[in-house]
Amino acid sequence: MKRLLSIFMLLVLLVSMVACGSETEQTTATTTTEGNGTENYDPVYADEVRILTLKGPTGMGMANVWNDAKFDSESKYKFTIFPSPDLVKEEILFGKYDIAALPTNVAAALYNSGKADLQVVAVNTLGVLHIVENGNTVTDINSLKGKTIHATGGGSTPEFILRYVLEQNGIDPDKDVTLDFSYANHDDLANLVGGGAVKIAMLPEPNVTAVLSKTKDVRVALDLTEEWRKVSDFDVMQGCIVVRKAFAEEHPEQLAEFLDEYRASVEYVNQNPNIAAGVIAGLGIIPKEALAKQAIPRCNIVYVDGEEMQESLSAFLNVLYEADAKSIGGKNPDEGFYYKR
Amino acid sequence: MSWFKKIKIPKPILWLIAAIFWTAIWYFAAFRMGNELFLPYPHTVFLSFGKLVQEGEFWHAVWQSMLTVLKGSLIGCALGGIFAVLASLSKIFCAIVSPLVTVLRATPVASFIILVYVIVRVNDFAIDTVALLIVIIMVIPILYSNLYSGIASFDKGLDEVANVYSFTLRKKIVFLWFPQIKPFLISGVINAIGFAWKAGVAAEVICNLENTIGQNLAESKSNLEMDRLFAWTMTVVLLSIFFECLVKRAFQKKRKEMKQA
Repeated sequence: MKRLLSIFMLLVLLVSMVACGSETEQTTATTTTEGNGTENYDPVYADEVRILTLKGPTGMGMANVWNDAKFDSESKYKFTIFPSPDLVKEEILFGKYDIAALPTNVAAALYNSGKADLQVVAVNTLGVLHIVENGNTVTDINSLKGKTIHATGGGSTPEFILRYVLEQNGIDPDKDVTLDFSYANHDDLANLVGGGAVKIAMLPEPNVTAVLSKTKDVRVALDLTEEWRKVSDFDVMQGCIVVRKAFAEEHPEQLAEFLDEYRASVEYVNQNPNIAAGVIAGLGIIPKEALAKQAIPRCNIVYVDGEEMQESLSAFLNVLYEADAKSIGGKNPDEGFYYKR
Repeated sequence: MSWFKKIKIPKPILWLIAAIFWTAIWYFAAFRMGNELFLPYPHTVFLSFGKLVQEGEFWHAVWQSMLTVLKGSLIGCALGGIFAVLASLSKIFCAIVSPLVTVLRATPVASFIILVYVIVRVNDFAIDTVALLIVIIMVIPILYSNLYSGIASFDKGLDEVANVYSFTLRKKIVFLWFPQIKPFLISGVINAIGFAWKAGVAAEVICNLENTIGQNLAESKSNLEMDRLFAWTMTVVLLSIFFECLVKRAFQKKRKEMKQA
């Protein structure tokens, strides 16, 4: 009896195993046919576009595209927001993205490293740096002479921009002014300006607006992007959008579609700061609506691509190169860096 | 002056004196700084805390961060404990684990956060895992060193006595080893909880993890809302103290139960 039972159990086991086996085979077979089906049906479009964006001004222009995608269940865009370019850099090095927002110098450095297959498709932020003053003595760039400017970003883009603007105006950054780059981060410097411990400072948005919202004593004395334009035939270009090269090659139509939406989004944000501010805050790009509303006009959000971008961006990167070649990866990026639609 | 020492002041009054003393120092410091952007007054912070508690987001963030810190502390304590026991039993294991623990203890949290972030992203883990792993990494060496030195300080004589009376393993654990290890365990766990909160929140700040205390801290800082920044800090401190007390209570209860047994 026992033996019979065990044989029976063995049979049951065998049958069930066979059954399971054939079942899995069937499912794999169906999935492969499905896979082929979609490939034939829609060869150009990726099922998912991974878009990495940044907190702060660089992410602001993207607000509308992102918001539309959020309320469209069919949308293929998958947005992720990062607090700092460092983290985005890591993602890009792993190739875990299709489109990303980055500071231009980081994009150039990544390209030059040869470790990241990326191309810059558009410039989305000119400059976000401003000179703010606790007082009323700075009226134009020349009135900075003899003063001390406190700033963050020593040894990187902000310092090079400030030095360039000063030099172009005939002000020697090492003799005519005192530059104090001893501040570790924007938040801390903003705090000191707000409290009146620091008189003249160079701050980026949205920290400028954060200070202004806290005290009436501080005012924006100079917009460095504006000052740069006065003395140069190309613009400051601090923020850009990059694309994974393979993605651009495989899905050019999809990329073009995104860029069109992006351009429209930038226009919308600039023209309707009051409405856009709510969207921007809702997406967590800038934590507060009131801050975003005031910051938008000072962020110089743009959409520049193609020839115009290459001309201006290569000239801007060359300024950084001459200040410190390391800041853009040791050399001016070659033609391949600039994506052409 | 011996009479002065003999006066028995009830505990609540002692606490009140300490509280008044430190609040006064805080007021004085804030007054000297002269600007609430540098150091807000205590009442501003308490008012801000009162507002914070009424926000739904506050409880969401507290819950999220608390789960991470508790899970991390538990796993970290367990691993640290297991390592300590194994290291005391085997010289080879001890030789292998000791340098790891020394390195873990000395490495700055910030370096670990970047490293763990990269590991998490490469392996496609959920981004929240960063804080959890950081807490575990910070807790392991604390528990390990505490318990290891605790086990090393065991009274060998008592072991022999127990053998003479042929104690069972269960009896040995309950009456011999646990009471000896307990002070080390308590101080280890209490230290660990403090570190777990610090490290966990630091990871949340650096990686900007959604809906966490750390993210709110960073946000208040960049908005120059110092009162909110202090209120969030106060939240972390209170939570840390709360769990410290909880651990102390738990161990005290155990002692009473054991006495009854």
